[in-house]
Amino acid sequence: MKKTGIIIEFKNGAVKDASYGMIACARNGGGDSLYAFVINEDAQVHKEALEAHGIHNIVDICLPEIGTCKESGSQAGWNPVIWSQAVMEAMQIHGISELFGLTTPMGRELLPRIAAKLDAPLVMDCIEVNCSEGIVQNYLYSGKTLATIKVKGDIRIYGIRPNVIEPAPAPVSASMFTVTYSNAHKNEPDCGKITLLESRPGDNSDGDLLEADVIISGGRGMQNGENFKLLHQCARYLGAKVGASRVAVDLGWVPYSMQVGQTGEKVSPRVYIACGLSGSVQHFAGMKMSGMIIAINNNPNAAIMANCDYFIEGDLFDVIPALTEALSKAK
Amino acid sequence: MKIYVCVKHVPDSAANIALKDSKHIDDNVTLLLNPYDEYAVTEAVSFKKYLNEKTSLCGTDDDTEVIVVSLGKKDAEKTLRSAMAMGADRGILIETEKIEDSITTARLLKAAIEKDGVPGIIFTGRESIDMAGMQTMFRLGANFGFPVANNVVKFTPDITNNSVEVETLTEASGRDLYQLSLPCVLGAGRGLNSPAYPTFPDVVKAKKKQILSVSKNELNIDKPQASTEIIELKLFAGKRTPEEIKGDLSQKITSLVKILKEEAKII
Ligand SMILES: Cc1cc2nc3c(=O)[nH]c(=O)nc-3n(C[C@H](O)[C@H](O)[C@H](O)COP(=O)(O)OP(=O)(O)OC[C@H]3O[C@@H](n4cnc5c(N)ncnc54)[C@H](O)[C@@H]3O)c2cc1C
Ligand SMILES: Nc1ncnc2c1ncn2[C@@H]1O[C@H](COP(=O)(O)O)[C@@H](O)[C@H]1O
Repeated sequence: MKKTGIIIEFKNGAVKDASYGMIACARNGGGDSLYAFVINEDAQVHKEALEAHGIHNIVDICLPEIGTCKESGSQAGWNPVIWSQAVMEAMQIHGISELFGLTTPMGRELLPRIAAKLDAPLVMDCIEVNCSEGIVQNYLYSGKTLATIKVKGDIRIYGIRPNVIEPAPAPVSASMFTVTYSNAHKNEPDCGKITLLESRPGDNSDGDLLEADVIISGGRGMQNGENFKLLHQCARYLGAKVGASRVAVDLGWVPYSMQVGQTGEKVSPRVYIACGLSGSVQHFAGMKMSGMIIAINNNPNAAIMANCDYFIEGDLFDVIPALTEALSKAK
Repeated sequence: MKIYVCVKHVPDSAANIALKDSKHIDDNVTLLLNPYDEYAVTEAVSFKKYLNEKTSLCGTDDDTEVIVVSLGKKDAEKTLRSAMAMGADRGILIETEKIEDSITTARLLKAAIEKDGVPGIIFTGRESIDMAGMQTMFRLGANFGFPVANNVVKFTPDITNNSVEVETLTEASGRDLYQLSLPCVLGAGRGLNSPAYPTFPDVVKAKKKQILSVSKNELNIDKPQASTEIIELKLFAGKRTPEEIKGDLSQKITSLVKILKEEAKII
């Protein structure tokens, strides 16, 4: 029987929706026995939620010795070097030959560390996985091609792009296990060579584009950082996160964590609203997978106007405040 | 100290991609130095300057050099030249006709570096923009037994302690601070520095710098058990048929709200 491990991510004490999508993905063409890895969170609390999505086994990974880092990041006691070792230990104990994680900042640290140590194949940013065949799909050449990739190896590791696979509840009941990561591992080759000194959390009010359902982005047309307030106000009524083009980032108007594109975040929201940005090839590389693209631009010849679902030709300083007002009344 | 930088020759981010066959792109496009690798080269060159200043103070004679290594077709020489125009001293080209996966790439890079010298530190980019494997630096580190930090946005050497301190970019502009002992592998992220465009004299000088070519077979690596292989490639245009939302401002807004509500179902 094939056993699949899934690294569950949490946000504000709840399982991330993207984690449920990943579980649905892991069930595709496989999923005989799914193990949810819950690291430094109270696994019991999340048992029901995970069972509802088809998890057969919950592995509570405790890291008592690292305790909590001075200032912890998104999850308590975050330390990618130790966490990846603890996941490998859990994989070994349970005989797991297939590992899933999200292509998020956390997954970008854990999955390749594990793959490198196990000399196992890894494909990041998968949009589809067929476990029984070991075949995945992802976008290569900055979103310009769709690739089908054959993954061969005794242990196979997949990084899943958040938000592209819908959660699909499938209730089962789960057994609980605990793996306590102990001092014995202080002899790992990495030990003493790399030490996490401090983890400073980011400001999630700006970030989190990766998992946003709706994104409203601004570009050079915003004219300055102050004007991004207009987008934030509108975003509140849309339940949206605010993104930006590279120009807006390079000019220092907004932080880099808001950049969408080839050298920024690659996002797949249901709706992407592009305001005052031209739609360069590099920007498209990060958002062309969006469900619906709506462009607001005063230049009918901008590239974005030719490759979207809807566009409004007009001044964003008229359109955005009017939209915000209409939305506020609709509530 | 020998400072190695892994640089990849990738299609220009602005290029239109066409297919040659069902597995390969038509490589009749402009290829250039992977954007993240520019940060890696820039940091390596400034680290060399720092080391030279240190050693001249101590009066020792150090042969610190920056060596750029690329695995790719013959054409990848151009990327090595660009990196040398940015200040790298010499280059190594590992020639292969194939698109190698990350497992093999890391083995070949290690073999070539090991054949050349003893690395004091290795820089890479945080990811390649063509394959976006996001893993070569970790595999290189594991193969050498060196610690690894990726998406590095701040680098502070501490030579007296034979270590470095780095900051890596995490979620929502968060930062993790690490100390790593040397030698280590660092994947450069955006914001680590501001790469300067080489001047014409730099470009001319780079033409005279040495590039050593080795073939993949010469390096004689163990064939890995595991692999990832592209079995099909399709163009993804994501082409849409745009529809204009017309009318005066209030009509436009009414239509837009209706689309958001009824079609997109987000409000
Ligand atoms: C290696 C590399 C990587 C890159 N990576 C990225 C990336 O990750 N993300 C990214 O975005 N870019 C990236 N770029 C940059 C990219 O090439 C473009 O320069 C950038 O996307 C343009 O930003 P923009 O659309 O905001 O600005 P512009 O192209 O100047 O467009 C501004 C738009 O605003 C419109 N406008 C102006 N005023 C108004 C108004 N009042 N109302 C309505 N519309 C208005 C204009 O008509 C115009 O279409 C990269 C470039 C390179 C070389
Ligand atoms: N073929 C290659 N030649 C040289 N360096 C490479 C090659 N492939 C990957 N790298 C390095 O590894 C980094 C990460 O690549 P990737 O794992 O593909 O995202 C790149 O930024 C390069 O520094």
